[in-house]
Amino acid sequence: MSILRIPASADRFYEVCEFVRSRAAALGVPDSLHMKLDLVVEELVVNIASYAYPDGGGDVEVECERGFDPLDEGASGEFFCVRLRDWGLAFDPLQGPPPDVTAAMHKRDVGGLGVHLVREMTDSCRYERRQDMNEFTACFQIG
Amino acid sequence: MDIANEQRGDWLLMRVGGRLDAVTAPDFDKDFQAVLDAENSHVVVDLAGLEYISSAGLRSILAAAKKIRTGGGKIVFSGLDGMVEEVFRVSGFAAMFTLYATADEAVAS
Repeated sequence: MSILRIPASADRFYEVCEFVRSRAAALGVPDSLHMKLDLVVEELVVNIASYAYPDGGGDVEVECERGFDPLDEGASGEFFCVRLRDWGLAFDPLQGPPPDVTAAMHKRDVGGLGVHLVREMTDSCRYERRQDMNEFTACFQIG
Repeated sequence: MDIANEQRGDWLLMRVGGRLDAVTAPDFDKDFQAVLDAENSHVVVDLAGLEYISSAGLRSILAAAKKIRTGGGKIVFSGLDGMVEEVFRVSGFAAMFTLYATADEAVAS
């Protein structure tokens, strides 16, 4: 099975992580990437559940591929990319302002770090709205 | 996720192991509130056994730290390693909090 489609709810991100790990293993991606994959998948699935489907009741679809970076044709080396699709409200996680990670504790808001972690842990990522669908692609360099 | 608490002198040592994520963070919140309710004001959170943390876990840790500081207490962290250390670093938590290599060093501080 190369595509997973399940209801998007925050407590089901483990299933997506497991699927992405199995695809990564099948595509010969090193185990050292597992924790980063888990983190990026968790943040993205939780975001979809919260913002694309604030009232619940929608699916998320997941697909993985290995190859050259589809987001940057000039980049050299191989990449493993995770692509998530949903059919909820238009939501571009990359649009928000970056958090100030140098602020003192009393000035920091509780939350808002998920997308920052996605940016930090991936080598490239892209959001696209295609008709009624959100599509987010997160890529990791593997060689 | 599993949590084990231990009194070490003036410090309450809270060892957190496993995964601190969107599913388990509410359990951490509950356990930390119990630590505060028991009137502990100096807490070492040892993360040596923690293998994974996401933004949901960071949110719980920041909320816990804000609560304890509001009450005039102190919170420090120990045993950060691997991806947990990396997540603390890129989110600015490593610079914001006092970190020790081991729980023993933290309770001796």
